[in-house]
Amino acid sequence: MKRQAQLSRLFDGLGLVLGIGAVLALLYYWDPTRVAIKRLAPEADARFEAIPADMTALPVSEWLSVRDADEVRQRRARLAARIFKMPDLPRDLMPQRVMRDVEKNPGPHHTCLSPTGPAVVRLLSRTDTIIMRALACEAAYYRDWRNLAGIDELTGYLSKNWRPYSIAYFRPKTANGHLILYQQGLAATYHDQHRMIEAWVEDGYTVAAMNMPGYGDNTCYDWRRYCSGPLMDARFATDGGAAFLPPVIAVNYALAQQPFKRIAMIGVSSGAWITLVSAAIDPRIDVSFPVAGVLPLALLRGKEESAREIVEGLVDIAGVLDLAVMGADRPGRRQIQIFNRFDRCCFYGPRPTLYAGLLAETARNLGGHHQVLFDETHARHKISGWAVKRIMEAINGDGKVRP
Amino acid sequence: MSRAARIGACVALLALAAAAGLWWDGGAWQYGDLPTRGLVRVAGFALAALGCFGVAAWLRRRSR
Repeated sequence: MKRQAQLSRLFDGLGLVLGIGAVLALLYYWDPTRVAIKRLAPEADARFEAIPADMTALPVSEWLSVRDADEVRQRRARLAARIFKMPDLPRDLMPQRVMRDVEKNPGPHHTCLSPTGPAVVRLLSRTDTIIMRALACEAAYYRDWRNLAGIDELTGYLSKNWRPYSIAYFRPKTANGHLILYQQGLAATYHDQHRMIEAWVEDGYTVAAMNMPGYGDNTCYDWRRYCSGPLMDARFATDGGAAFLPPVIAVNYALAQQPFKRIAMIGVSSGAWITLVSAAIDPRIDVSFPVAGVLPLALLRGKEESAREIVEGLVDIAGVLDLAVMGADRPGRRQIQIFNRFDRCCFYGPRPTLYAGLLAETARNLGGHHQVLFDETHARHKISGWAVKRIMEAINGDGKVRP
Repeated sequence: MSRAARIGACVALLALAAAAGLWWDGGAWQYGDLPTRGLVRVAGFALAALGCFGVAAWLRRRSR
């Protein structure tokens, strides 16, 4: 009797502890309370509010060397020569293979590593399978999206037994004349952003979604599907080709299907760096949005350093600030860089304020528009609802972006 | 069920209901205001708490 009474008190106590655990878990995971926790953390001011002391004296204005339209043209040509080994963008280059309506007919493909669909895949899969999610496996889950006419897979084989590229081209039934290029970053695939892409397709946007080299279908894991055909021109068999060619081909293919009123490119994390370079070299991209990434190399800290290799072979031609201005170099062209101020991963804090005014002024002198925004609604490494709202306002041109 | 257990169960249930509502409102996905992983953690704690209160109540009934 006494023992059972003691046991019941023990379970009551355990229940109370677990109940408090449920409340703490809620506070920890919900974005607004997570931000509050981050703000209250020791050294929060130094990390999220103040520019590091060793950066305040850096000669930031000297890092921007592109000042006029002629200079932009020259740098763009040099970048194209460096990346694609040709004097201009390969504007006539089309995908080697187009598989229409893969959501209905995925075609022969390798065993699916994460065959659980978008809703629970992050919970049930290991990281190494999350980053290998294949369009042929996932497309069926998108079949019932409202306003989706079909998904085309655009592919090409870049380097032998190593790098293919695959682009998912979402066609809306009723199109609004806008194309969105979405570039996912590392440690994920664009399939993780299925809700965002679904909302765009529902609103009539045509979407071309891309992964980083080595992620999703950009590997020879599914050898028969992606790496058994003829190779593309050898000049594209480089790291630069694997990273920066797919957005060019996506635009080429899209414009061959129909004219577009506006072409936007959005990239998150490492995808932000691809977006930065793509907007700089391809003036057909009207508006670009590097999110949660992109700082001058001298401002990188800790794990941010891993992004250095994406642009390292290019910065002797155009530095990170030059690339930013080149993406907003004329009337109608605009770039908005969005940083998560409390990002628990990287690219946090106010460092971009060191040069935001300089970029805005230089772009304005060229006739374009450059802006830096800080997202303070969450503490994660992601594109938030707040950021998507600002992005859509800019793409649609129907609202002013908040200062 | 003791008064403390009743309050604890209410807190756990409220946390679970709030988490489910916030998760659903944010789009019911990993990149919403409350990620799916967060909902699973909250649900795990809350359901375990309710289970403990249930076991405690059962033991108390048996001991009478």
